[in-house]
Amino acid sequence: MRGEEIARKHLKKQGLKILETNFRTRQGELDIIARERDTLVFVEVKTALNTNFGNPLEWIPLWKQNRIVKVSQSYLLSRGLHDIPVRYDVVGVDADRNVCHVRDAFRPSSEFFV
Amino acid sequence: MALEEDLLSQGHWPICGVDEAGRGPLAGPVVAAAVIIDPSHELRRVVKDSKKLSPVKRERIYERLISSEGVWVGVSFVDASSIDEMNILQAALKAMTEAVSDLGESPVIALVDGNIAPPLSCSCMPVIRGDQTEPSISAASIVAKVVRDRYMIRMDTLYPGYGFATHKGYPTKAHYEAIHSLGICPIHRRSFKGVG
Repeated sequence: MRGEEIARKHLKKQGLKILETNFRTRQGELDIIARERDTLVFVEVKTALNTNFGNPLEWIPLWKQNRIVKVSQSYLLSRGLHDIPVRYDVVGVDADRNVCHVRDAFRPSSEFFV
Repeated sequence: MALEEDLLSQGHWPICGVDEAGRGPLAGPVVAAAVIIDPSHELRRVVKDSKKLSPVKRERIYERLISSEGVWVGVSFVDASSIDEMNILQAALKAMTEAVSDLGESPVIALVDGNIAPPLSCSCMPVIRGDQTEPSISAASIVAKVVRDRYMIRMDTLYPGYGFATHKGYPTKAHYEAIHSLGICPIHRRSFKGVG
């Protein structure tokens, strides 16, 4: 099973509803888009971390966080979603298929609010 | 409002706190604890600011945590030889994963002290200085600390002369001197600087 499948299964078990996967724009890709209650959740899947779970903030470098935020904004526009609470999660899947789902793993840096 | 209260008010339940004790010592296990406290439980208000508690108060709260209705506690040890095999970070993560599995109840979210995230079957949120802000992390830090301290006091009778009952394995001058004169014992972490 691929990392993204393992991640999807894990999220479903957590009660998140998977809306879409692999949403692409020219700027990049969102691995999983899910919903938890009224919150839209953008999930980045990080596979093959060996067993080096540790500081999740180091999994996704800042430039990549920014790119994910940009693509998520395109997503919101394309689906006509306004004023919906959003969250950015990261799911790590290691070589032994251990899963680490970090909720609210990062937030858009302030420049995105100007 | 603390993150935990926020999540509880959104309906997330059960939420456990996770913390570990014993990453720094030269000897003994790393101990992790996971604790779930019922949202209306009075112990939620008692466990705040675990770092500021006196050892006696900490022991008292520990006794209440492990004997109260509406509180679930999971504990796990990873011993010195495993720490040497894996490295201390991996050992701490393993202990945390096992402590969560040791809970009688399956949490939906684990709040983990610090900036590390162990592999878990639920989702997790690392909270920096969470032992000061989130009641269930405070509770987990109390449990991990008391359990580890008690274990090291027992080790002092098994391996006397090192002073485990006083410094609990932490690197103190007396501890280094004891290693120098007695050599190491089976619960020393050989991979640590100043031990092997």
